[in-house]
Amino acid sequence: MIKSQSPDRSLSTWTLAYRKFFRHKLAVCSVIFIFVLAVVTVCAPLIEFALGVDSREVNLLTRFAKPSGDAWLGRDELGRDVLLRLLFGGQVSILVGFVTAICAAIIGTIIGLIAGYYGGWIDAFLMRSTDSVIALPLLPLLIVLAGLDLNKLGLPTTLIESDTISLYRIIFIVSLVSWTTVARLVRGATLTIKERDFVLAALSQGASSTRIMRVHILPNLASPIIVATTLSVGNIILVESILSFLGLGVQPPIPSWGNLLTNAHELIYTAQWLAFYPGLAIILTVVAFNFLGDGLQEALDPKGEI
Amino acid sequence: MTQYLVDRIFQSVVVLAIMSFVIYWLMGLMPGDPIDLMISADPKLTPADAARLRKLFGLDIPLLERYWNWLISAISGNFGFSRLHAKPVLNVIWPALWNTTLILGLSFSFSILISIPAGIIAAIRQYSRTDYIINITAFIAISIPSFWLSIILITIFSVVLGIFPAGGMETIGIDTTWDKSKYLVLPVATLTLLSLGTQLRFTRSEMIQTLRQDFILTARAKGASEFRVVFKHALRNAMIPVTTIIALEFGYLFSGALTIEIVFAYPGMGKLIFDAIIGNDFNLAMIALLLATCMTLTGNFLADLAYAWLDPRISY
Repeated sequence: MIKSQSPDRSLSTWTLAYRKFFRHKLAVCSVIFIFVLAVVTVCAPLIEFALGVDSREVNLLTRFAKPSGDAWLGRDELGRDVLLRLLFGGQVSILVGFVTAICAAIIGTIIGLIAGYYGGWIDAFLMRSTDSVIALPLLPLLIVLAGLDLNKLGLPTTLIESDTISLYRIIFIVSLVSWTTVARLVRGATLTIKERDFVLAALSQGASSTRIMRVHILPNLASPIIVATTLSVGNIILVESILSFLGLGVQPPIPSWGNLLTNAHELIYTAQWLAFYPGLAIILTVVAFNFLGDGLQEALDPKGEI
Repeated sequence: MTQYLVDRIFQSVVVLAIMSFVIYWLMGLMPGDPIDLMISADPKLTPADAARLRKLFGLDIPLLERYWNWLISAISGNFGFSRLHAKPVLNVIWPALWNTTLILGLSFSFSILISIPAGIIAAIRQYSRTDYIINITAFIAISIPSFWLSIILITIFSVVLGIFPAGGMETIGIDTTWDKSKYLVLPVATLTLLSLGTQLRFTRSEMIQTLRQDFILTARAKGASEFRVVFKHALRNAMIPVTTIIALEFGYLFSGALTIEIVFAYPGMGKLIFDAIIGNDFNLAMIALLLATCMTLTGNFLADLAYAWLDPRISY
């Protein structure tokens, strides 16, 4: 960390970004929303415990109950509390969105760094591959990947039979196709940064390629990577919800916003309101992540006005 | 330019070839191969029979060799038989492809007709209330899960109001264009709303950027009318990247159409692919997926071509 010598005038990049960000009202609201949502969903088991109910308990006598004091958003087709299910679903959807975005960013950063730094045929090969992945029909492909028989892939049976396998699987397959934006961004930025004098200075002192990439180039890429990753979280939550809705993503008993809607489609004539809440939760969250990304982009853009 | 064209076509063919192998390989990893299905259907089948069947269908030979055989017969025009539909694969694909093209084409035209004028208005009146509303609409449009929007529209227009049918393509027994178009309204409306967001945001930001450039200042300085500045000078330049995005969007829209077709039980390519994958119809899934890949690759290719063609500054 570099400490500023004259604290009265010169502000660090991050302080400036911080100040600019707080002027973007929608982005600030989004941060608050995401924070509250994260806290509430993480606390879902606590809320459940405090109320003394079990969100997985089936009670057919109370099925389709209207919203009331003891179940704020009513009850679903198996008599479970809709609000609690929504919170548990949110836990999974947000977690998947976040982890997948980070995995994709890591893959994209590595590919982009290598392509931009080494250039030549490595660059040509990696970038043609990136272009090719972008040009694929992603959803049909994801459906194939989600439908694969894990036994035939030779994975250990204990892993395949565990409840959480659908979580790992969706994180893995979605990261496999979402790294392209970050890869292109990182490659472009690496191309310009590697020509700078400080890289030459490091080279002349005998720094290795990996050290230059890690210590000298990567920190300068932080802001575009952060922006792209934030923007991708929303998109990934959408993809996860589509796959889970189709029955190919997160599998019950683990709830996610997507698979909460699987039944809602069939119940459209009996209980329309059940379809409403998970979709609304997805929209609000995705909008919030998009606003946040937008705000970050403006705040971290060095060309923007201060 | 010719060199670039040849390179690009060559690259697309390579991607298609690689994809055909990858998809072939992945299909083999799907649960339940054809023989397993026969075993489960017929309890009298002994393991020896299964082994014999495997040999008969050529399932005991190595993957690469099997792929090669498939490729040879596919190139000679033999795409095999669809298990689910009990018809040659091509006979199943053509109607589905036409149905998808119909809704994609319609919604694509509608969304362009709405998004470009709205994007221009938002850009001219940047930071005004209109801009704010258009911007928020665009943000919501890119954040709505496609299937959820379909469900909500079905709830409102089919269940509550009863104006439009909830799914399918036509009422059995009634064969009129009017009847068929009623079935198109909701899927097309959903798809239009979905593709609107990106186009709107992109048109707006491109217009804003173009309007800030020096040649716009020059045009204003020489006394060109505001109409002329916006439509003649700014729009023509802003449209270059917008066209590219629109062409790229076409591939994305194909994915969007998939979920919508499933929710509306609309017999298009998306539903076909989904049913084929879920129903272990390998021959059909293979060809349908490759066709989808072909379509998105073409979309990307056209986007690049449009870019070079519209912008004289770019030469390949």
